Amino acid sequence: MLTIAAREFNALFRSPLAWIIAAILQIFFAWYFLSTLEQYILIQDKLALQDHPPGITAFVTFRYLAPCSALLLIICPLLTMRSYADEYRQGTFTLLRTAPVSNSAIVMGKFFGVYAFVALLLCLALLMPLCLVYITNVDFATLLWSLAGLLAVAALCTSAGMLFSSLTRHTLVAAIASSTLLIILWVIGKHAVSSPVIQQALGTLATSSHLGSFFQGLVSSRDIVYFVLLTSLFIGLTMIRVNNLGWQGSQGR
Amino acid sequence: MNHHQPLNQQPGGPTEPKRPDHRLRRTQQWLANITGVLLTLVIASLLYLSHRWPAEADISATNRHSLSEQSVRTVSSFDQAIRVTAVLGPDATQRQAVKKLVAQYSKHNPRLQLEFINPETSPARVRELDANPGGELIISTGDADLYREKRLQSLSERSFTGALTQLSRNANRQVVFVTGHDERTTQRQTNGDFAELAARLTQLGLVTREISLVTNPVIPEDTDLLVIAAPRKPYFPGEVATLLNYVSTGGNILWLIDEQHDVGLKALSAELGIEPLPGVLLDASSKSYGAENPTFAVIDHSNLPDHPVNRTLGNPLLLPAATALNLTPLAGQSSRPLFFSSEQSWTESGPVAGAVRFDENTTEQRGPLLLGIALQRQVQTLQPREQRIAVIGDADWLANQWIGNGANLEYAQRLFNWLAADDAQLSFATATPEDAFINPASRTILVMGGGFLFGLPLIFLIIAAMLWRQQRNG
Repeated sequence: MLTIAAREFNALFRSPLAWIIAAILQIFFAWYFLSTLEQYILIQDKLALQDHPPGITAFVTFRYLAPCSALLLIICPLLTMRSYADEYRQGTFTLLRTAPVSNSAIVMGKFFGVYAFVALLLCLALLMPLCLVYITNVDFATLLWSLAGLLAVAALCTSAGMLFSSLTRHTLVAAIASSTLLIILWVIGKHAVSSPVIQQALGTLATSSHLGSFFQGLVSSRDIVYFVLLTSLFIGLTMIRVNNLGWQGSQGR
Repeated sequence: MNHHQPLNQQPGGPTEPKRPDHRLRRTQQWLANITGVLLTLVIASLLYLSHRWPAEADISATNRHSLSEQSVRTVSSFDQAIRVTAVLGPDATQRQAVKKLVAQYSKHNPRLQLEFINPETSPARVRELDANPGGELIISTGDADLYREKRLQSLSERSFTGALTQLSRNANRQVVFVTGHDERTTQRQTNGDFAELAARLTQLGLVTREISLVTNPVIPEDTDLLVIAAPRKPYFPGEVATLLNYVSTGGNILWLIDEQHDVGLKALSAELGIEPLPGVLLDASSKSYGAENPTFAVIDHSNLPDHPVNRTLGNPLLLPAATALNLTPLAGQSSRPLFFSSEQSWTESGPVAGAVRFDENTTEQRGPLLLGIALQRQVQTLQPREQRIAVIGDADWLANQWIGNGANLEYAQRLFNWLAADDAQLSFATATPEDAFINPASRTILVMGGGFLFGLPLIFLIIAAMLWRQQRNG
């Protein structure tokens, strides 16, 4: 599994495109971070008057890191779209399946390969809030928990991207379909529905409603469980898909 | 779950595998679909269970998501049931906010119960409660004979704890307004009067009433605060004696002064060491707040010295036609300024018309000038306590017409609470995080900004170019 993960990670790490994405992301992160910082400096006097006022850490995690997590809805599918679809097209998936590893190891290996790369990208976003230690006493617990939030969204988006990549041989279709699903999942509970039961169910399913706690220094069991379960669901469905291909493939020989 | 052909097979190719047995393949497909559905169902049930029994922990440095110590103390002190009736539409976000706040309190006192009433589906119930259909939180406690309630239109920990504090007291505080000298009255709705103020004070648990010093030569003992609201007709000597007696025996007093009227209260002035300066206060800085003429004194943060009443005030205070005060420090009392006028203000002795400006070498005085002052004295009775007195050089700021402007209402509520010795309502404070202040002049921010915005992306682009060249060559 580690070999597959390393192979996947290296493939991304050696692609110029990934580095260009990283450069563009970094410009965006830096610009967004600095404007959030400026906004805080402008209103810090007023914020201090509130009950339970936020410090710069809480302000930055909520106003900068939380919106940044929405970028993952696009970036993860772009990074995962080739994971299976490309192998199907080039015929290398048959080769991979003949290797002495189980199907679940293939799925997990591919998942962790891309996930490690996304985690590195996320560290870029976190680098700037971390540098606040040079100017103030940063609230590390809140900052690290918001990194956990980013990693949770990344895991969900990567696993969803993987599932769609395993369903088709067209990379672009995989990326668009997974992004669409993730965006729908993100906004699903935002609109008022007449039935409170449905509203609650949609709210439970919505990704955005499970993010707040991570970026405000609040550990919430329901939010952790949400990300663990949905990521497991997508990985599980990918495994079933790959197994099914395996059976059909072996039957075919 | 899927109905694809195996994607890795190249149909029609030279190594085309044998077609699998049709039935077996269908069974396997069916099995995969069933497993997929089962997995989804298991995940959905687990998701439901996790929402049914949630658990939370606050790890922020200042426990931002937990109640302040005072709130916990207040709610824990109740040994009767507390009923919270939220008259609120079906909006899920609003209801969630109420639920979340109330849940924080009920964690510390399980006797607190929350009930929602939707004004759209239960209009009769809303009428019966005489609730504001736009949304209201009714917090009540006690049985039929000892029933007490507080109503909140804005929801915050501060307001909720404030309401609980008032409910926990058995008796309301008595605020008595002196009448009979053409003062501002709590009974009338006209622009210059105090009906709105009285209504707002009642919400705080401060009951207002008026007395005449002619018919009451002794001020009632249950008076927590006596208000002299800018009299325009002179006091009789006997009335002044009553006032002086009240002050010397330790009564709390709020004196609102309008300079234009000499009402025979010089003796009270001398007793407190405070006298009004002649002329009306003009403030050139009020223009920047959109005031039409300079008779408005605008008091912002910079003119509010440290005092329990002044803490956490957001907007500026607006005082129409104020009078500056002069303080003579007296032995036996400590005096602390409440607020000053701005540096661009002065006391105008001439008529306020046309181009007015500060005239040197006259009785006019340049700002900042004292407009409000708080006095404290130790009273040696059976139970030693503190006497609290405030003198403000304006009455209009509390009048129906002006109380809603700026922070006037909020300030009035804080001032009355302090004067009625209700410190519990003033001491509400939450922790300020250590990273609350960022120095905008910090050079580190500039270096950091430059490095992250230009340096790092440039390094990434160079790596990308190198990789691209490497791949092209190799």
